[in-house]
Amino acid sequence: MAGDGGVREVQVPRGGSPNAMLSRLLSIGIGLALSLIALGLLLALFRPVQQSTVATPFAQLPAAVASGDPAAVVSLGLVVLLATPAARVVALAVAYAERREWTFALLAVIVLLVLVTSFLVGLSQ
Amino acid sequence: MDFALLAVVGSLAGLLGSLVGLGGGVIVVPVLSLFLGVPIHQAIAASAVSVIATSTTGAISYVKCEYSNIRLGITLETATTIGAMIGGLTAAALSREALSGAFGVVLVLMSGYLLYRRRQGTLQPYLADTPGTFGGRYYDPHACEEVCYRVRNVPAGLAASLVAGNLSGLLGIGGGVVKVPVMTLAMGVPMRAAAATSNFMIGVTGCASAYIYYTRGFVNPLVAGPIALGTTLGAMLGTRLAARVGGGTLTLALCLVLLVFAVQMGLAAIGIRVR
Repeated sequence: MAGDGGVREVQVPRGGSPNAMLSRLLSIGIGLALSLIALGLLLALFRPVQQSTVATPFAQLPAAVASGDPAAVVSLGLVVLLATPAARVVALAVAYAERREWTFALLAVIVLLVLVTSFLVGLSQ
Repeated sequence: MDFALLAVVGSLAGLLGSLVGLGGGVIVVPVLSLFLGVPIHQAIAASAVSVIATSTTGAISYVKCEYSNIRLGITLETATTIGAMIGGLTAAALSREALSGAFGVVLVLMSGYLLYRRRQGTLQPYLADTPGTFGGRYYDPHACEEVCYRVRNVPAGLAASLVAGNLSGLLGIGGGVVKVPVMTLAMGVPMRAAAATSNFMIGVTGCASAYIYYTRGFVNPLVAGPIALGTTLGAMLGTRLAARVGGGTLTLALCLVLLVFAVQMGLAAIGIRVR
């Protein structure tokens, strides 16, 4: 981490600026998620929709998506959407570790642990 | 339920929200729960998902332009995510009446914030030659110059982030209403960087509670999907229009709408539904 007193030059060992990498990651994640949601809603216009009010459980998601269930395709889009910010935290942890900015790499790992805890606590009911 | 109607509700919420500088959640939750018969837990979950979608979309350009202060963002996210996890668990445990009442109170605070922000003068950021540990620099296209700033009062920012994350998790809103004023007033962050950094944090913060909503069955894909799609498209349109549309009258109008929603949410809290 740069000290408070010095001018901090952006040092990027490899893979380009973390900002550009993050921007690319977010674009891919959100683009894929919104496309899947739109596809699922489009399918719902032509196929019968089970009036389930719950997102398709993870275990059933691959089979339900393969069968073209509109709610499952939308659910997959939501899963991709919810995974995108988490992927950006992982990418940040790696980017800061590569730059040897250990404080910020550690903070990113802490945020990731909170997200994992939240997911596990949600499942544990 | 009609997907097209939900997508239109989402688009309008995203459009209005981005025009006045609020997330769409404050509009989505009352409209879904008061007028479209969506249970409030599902409405909050749909809003949380849409907030993640709009903030992620916004972050793509903010991050690229270096407006988002990623170091400060990841630091404050340690508090926002813990707050959001607690908020999400609290929301899952609360009755719909209690949640309606809490949302009503926050709507009143939101309209107060919008009025306050309309009247406040220019804030003085903590400008410096070097950014230090948590500060940043970006190019301001309006002033045609590079802005370099430092950050002070990080503990105050962490405390505010805990509150913002908690509100976000409890009610499915972004929480920028708490973070942005604290960053600009207490921490010396310029408004442009504060708004972009808050937006950058909202996606991850929203996830901490959305994981709980998703795993506990509050995310209805056929409600959350069209709302997320609509809000994102509406917010993208709003961002393009924002420079051309005068925000003053719109802000005042939204304040009144939020107050009407607040009264209706308050009535819903004691079991009275008025449409």
